[in-house]
Amino acid sequence: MKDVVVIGGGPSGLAVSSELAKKGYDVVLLERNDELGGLLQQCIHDGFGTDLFGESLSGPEFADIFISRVRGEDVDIKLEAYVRSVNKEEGLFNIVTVTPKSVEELEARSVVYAIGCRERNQFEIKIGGTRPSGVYTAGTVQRLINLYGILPGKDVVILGGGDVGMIVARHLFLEGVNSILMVYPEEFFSGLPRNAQQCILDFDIPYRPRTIVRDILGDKKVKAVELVDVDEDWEPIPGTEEIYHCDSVILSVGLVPYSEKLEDLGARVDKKTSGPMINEYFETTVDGAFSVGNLIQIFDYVDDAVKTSFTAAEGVERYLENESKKDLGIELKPGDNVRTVTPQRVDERTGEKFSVFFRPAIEKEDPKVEVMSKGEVLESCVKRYVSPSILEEISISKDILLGEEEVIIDVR
Amino acid sequence: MSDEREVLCIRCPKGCRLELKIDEEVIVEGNQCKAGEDHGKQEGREPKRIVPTTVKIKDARWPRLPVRTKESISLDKVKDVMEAVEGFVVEAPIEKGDVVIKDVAGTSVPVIAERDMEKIR
Repeated sequence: MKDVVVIGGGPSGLAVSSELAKKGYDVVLLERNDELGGLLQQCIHDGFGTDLFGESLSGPEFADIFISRVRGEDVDIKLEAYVRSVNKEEGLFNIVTVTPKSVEELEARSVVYAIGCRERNQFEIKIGGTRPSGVYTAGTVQRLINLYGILPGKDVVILGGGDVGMIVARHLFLEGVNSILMVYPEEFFSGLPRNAQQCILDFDIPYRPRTIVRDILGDKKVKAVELVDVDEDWEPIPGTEEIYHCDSVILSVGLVPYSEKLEDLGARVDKKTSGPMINEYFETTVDGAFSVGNLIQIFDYVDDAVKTSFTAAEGVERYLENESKKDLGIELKPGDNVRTVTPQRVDERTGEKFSVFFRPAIEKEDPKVEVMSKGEVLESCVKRYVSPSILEEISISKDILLGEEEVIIDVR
Repeated sequence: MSDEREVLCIRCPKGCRLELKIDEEVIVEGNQCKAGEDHGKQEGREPKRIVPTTVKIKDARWPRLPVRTKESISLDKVKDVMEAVEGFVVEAPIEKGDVVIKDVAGTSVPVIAERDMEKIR
């Protein structure tokens, strides 16, 4: 019988494993790949760790810090272990893993899901035309370039102005492709401003806002795309169609938390974040099943994703020590000008303050962030600038929430 | 003659919009912290960046080893660095922080390995 099984050896899974082992618990870490570090191993650019370590590290360097922590603690690391199923019976979790050698069963008192997110693909967005080869997701291209040294093509169109797309555009530019064009339906890049600067603007990589790829053209291989301008509602403007020649199309059209596995276990999923609903200690609606990192929602910044692990480790400890009471049960919800809020509920009366992450739905200077209940403002603060590109964090003290049932976070 | 320019700060994910007035001195507005001011001043004089790329590696688990300039180098020199690194081959094992190229493209900045890569044969 194990105390905790952690699923996923990316940064968040590594961090929660070492924290729990440090607290003296018997931890098993399951990773389906044959090395630890997760997605960070292909994120070779710098910019990680400025918050946690005060310096700008590359993805592999950031990962290495947490790999060393796990190796320094007594964590049972199982590589090439794919989780086939998780079931909860009589308060215990039964985890079936498949490895190249065997099928194994584990029993644990608690489980932490740290399985991250996946990229949205061409079949999930409205994109027409034929189905030739040469269409990639941005993360796949990042992997091809940085781990295998393979470029996807010579003349590249990138659809979507998110972070992964911008970072990949810079790799493509530096590694010497012929041409790059980035198109996206928004007014400005949807990823972080710093990536717009250091990936696109620094190198004058051509980009077109308010433009989408309507059709992908080509028989066996991509020959061209049909571009079209869009209005503010992303509706195509007739007469603006243009055939643009290229040999590959890269999609950077969003990331989705990989929450199907937790749903199988019976955990409720938030339609807005697509991640599991969690409380302030990152416990899902299944007692003893926790969730950390980009599985909760897409964080802009790995430092923030990893910080969820520190709080979750406290939550797991409380659960294992039978200290969690769930005597509060307050729901947190986004207001009209906010897209997502996590955690979705506050369960515990104990503890003073907790962090709330929210993604604004609007762009605004000097907005007021309000914590409200039944139309009354419980607490507010002023931010200098908010936009949908930047995930915001506020700290709320539990005192002001006592007696409330449903609390709204909004900006105005 | 003063020059005015707007850049987005790259020091943290906030990405403040920095307004630079470039004269003999660089005046920075729009920053929210000291790092932003430092960055703006540097941008006004000489923009500098860390360059991430990969080199070929023999006998290792992956065909490529991620490397980067140890410190940021002049933005104008990025292409030179890329050219100097191209075609470079190293052999496993490599440890994180190992110097792959001592002084890349006359910048007097080394190119270092971003991770360990064990020998696999």
